[in-house]
Amino acid sequence: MSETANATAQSAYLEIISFHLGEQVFCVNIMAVREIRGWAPSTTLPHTPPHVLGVINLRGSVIPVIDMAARLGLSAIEPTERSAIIVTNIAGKLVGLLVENVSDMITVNAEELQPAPEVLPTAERALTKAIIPHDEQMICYLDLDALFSDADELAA
Amino acid sequence: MQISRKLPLAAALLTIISIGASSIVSLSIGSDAVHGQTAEKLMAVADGRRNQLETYLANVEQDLVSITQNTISRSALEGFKFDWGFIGSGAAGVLHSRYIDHNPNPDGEKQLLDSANVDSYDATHKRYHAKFRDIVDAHGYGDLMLIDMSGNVVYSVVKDRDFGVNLRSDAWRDTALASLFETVLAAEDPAASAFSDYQPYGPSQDRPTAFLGRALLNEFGIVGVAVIKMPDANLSGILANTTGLGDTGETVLLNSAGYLLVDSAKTEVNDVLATQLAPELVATVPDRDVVSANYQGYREISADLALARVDFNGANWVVAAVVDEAEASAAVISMRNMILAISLAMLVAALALSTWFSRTLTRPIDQLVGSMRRLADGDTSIDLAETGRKDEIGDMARSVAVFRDAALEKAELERRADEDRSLVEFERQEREEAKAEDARRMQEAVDQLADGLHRLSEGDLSVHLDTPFLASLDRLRIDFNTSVDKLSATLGDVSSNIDSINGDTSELSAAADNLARRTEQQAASLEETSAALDEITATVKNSSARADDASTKVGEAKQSTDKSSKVVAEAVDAMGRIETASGEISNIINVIDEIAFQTNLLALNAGVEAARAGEAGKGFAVVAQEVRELAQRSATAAKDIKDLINKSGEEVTTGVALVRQTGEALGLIASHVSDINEQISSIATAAREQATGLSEINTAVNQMDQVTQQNAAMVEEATAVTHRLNSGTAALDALVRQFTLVPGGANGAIASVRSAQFASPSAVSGSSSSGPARASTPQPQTTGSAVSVSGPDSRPVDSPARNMVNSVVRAFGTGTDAKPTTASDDDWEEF
Repeated sequence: MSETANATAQSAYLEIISFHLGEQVFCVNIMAVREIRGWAPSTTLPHTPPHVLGVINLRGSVIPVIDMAARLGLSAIEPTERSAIIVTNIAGKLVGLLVENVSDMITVNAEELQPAPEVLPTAERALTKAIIPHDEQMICYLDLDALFSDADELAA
Repeated sequence: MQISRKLPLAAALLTIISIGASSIVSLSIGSDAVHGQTAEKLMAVADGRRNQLETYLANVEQDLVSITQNTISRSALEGFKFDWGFIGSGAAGVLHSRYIDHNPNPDGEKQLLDSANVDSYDATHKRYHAKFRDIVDAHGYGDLMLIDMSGNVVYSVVKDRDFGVNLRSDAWRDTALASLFETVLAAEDPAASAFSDYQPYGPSQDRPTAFLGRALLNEFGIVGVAVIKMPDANLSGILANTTGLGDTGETVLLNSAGYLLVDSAKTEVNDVLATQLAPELVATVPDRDVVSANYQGYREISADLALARVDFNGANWVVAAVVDEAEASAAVISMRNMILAISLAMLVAALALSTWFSRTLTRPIDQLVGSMRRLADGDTSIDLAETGRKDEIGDMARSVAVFRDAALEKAELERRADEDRSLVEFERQEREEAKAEDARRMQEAVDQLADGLHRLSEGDLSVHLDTPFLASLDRLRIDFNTSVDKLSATLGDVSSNIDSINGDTSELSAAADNLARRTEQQAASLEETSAALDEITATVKNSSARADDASTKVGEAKQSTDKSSKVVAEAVDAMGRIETASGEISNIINVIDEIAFQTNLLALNAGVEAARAGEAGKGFAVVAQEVRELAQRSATAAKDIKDLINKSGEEVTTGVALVRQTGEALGLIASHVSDINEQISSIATAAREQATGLSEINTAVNQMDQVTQQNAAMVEEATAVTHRLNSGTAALDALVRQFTLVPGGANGAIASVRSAQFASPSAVSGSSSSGPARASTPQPQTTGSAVSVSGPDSRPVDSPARNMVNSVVRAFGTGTDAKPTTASDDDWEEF
């Protein structure tokens, strides 16, 4: 939330990274992204939720990898060579997000952000921070902190 | 020499030879048997005595052993030795005085004194002497002595001068007894006996004496020696037994030098160690064997000997059984005398018997000889009394009787032959008269027959012989008459047939003219046929050449299709290579795509970094964006290329399929071309066959031409012959008319004879004209050509033209639809 506030305060522009999950396009704030990697097999951990694929070795540090499709309730995606892992910094912890395809790096005007419709349940709505219409597409702007509010247990 | 003397002489000679031979043989066998028996008897006796002696000597030795092992002997020796010490020196003199000089018994019976009753020795002597004396008396020993270890003869049963002496003293050291004593002491085996052979012994008045000694032993060793003198009387008793040896036979015991050890009863003198017998033989007698020999010089006789060695304790003795040879051969001599007497008696008997036997043989033979001599002189009245005998003389008498009967029969036969001869002479005269009558009648018949034949030769067929001939020749006359009648009838037939021949000949002329005309027509047709055949031949050759051309063309087409097949295969290969290359390109494109993806990722990361850098990273963000776009473009391009490659791969697959189809089509074309080639080849083959058929047809036509010309010549000849036939008929008629025929009835027969004669030339010409026609008739059965018969006179002839037509049909036809033209409606003769 501090990032959003920063962005709103400092400039009217917001840089996002958009990616595909199935037919759907989502995006995250570029400032939350640490780097983007090609897909690599992860090491499965015991007694983890279904959306946690396991852990990978990122230059010496072990980070968890989350299947975003599973986390968002979409049908799970089959990882291919063209899949990517977006390494993000969530609450000071590095988390890898498995996505189908990183499609673009877009700069949007903050005014373009539309709030999510309120028909969704509160918990669900909390995941979608906003909707960005862009080039005939509707891009779902994900709130990573809300997405992993239980990041503590993740880190543990 | 007369048989009456020969026979008895021969019998006597045979008897002498047989008796002499058998006598000599039996004498020799008998003599050998007697000698052998004597030798065997001697050997048996020698062996028996030897065994007896050995048994006896073994008994003696065993006796000595029992004496020495007896405790009485040992205690006696101990007692005598003890008492000996009390007697002191000069014991010999003391004891001689006590037991010999003051012995009341006479010499030779000194042993009867039991004790001199002086001191303890005499007490001991009294205690043991009776026992020892009994032993000596019982066994007949010369003496029994006990000797202590110092050589003192402490006891003697008989008590000769050797009693009481010391054997080691100078006086006794060299005696046989002393040496025996030393031998026993020195022996390795203390239990062994020692023996001293017979030799003159002083104390026994120099009589030859032998000793047998053995040690007396206690548990510590030798304590003394017991010695016995050998029992001469017993040995003599054994050897004195001369049973089975006759008057002169005896057995003697010899020592190793051949001297007698026991006195012989057959001599006056004492022979012991004095008389010698066959020393050289004695030395060679083997141990357990018996030797037989002959020896001169013992008892002044020629002695037969058998020698056997006695085995006793080193005593080298030999037992000899001796018998006088004269006594042994007495049996042989008596046998010889007996045989001589018997032989003489048998000889005299044989002579008498043979003389009587020869008389019974020779007397009838003499009588028979007399009879035979008289028969030879012609006297047939001889009387043959011996014909009743059953032996060979009876056979001879019967043979002589046969000769006598033969002589009687011969005289009877000569008388009969004289009677037969006069009868034959009479019969011969009768036969000659009959023969003269026959000759006359035969002359008559011959004359008549000659007359008839003469008339016949002048053509008069009415001649007839009516007078009968001689019975045997009358058949000739009848046959002549029959022949003339038949000839007359035949000539009449000939005459009538000549007329009908004349009519036939004119018909023949007309037929010949017709034949000539038709033959010309045939020749013309044949020329036309020949021309047509030439044209056909040219056509066929042309078609054959075209077929060959077509075959060549088809071959070229086949080569072209083969090449096309190869091209198709190469095209398929090339397509395959294109596919491979497309796959490789695909791989490369994948690599490019991957690179583009990675580049995109890198650019994204660069963008992220630039964004995080804020204002400072703006420029870098633009560059990163450019790089991303480039990467995306190259990815898109790679995808496009991949699509294109896939498309071209599909196209290549389609192309390959098409090319394969083309190849199959070409293969089909090739097989069709092969079929066409086969068809054209068969056409060419057919054309060649046609050409061959045509040449056969040409040959056939040529043959037909020749035949036709020959036919024309033959027709001309036939015409000429017909004309000659006409003139021949006229001449024949004239000839027949020369004969005077018996009128009526015989003309038909003459005519038939004539027609047969005239027919022969035409038959010849007919057969010759049909010759060529026959030669040209080889007709394969496959053509199925039938032969028609044009008339009753013509023979079935195949038409050469038909052959030709059929050949043409065969050549052009394909076989199944070839119908050979039948010959039923156009004949060979219609050409």
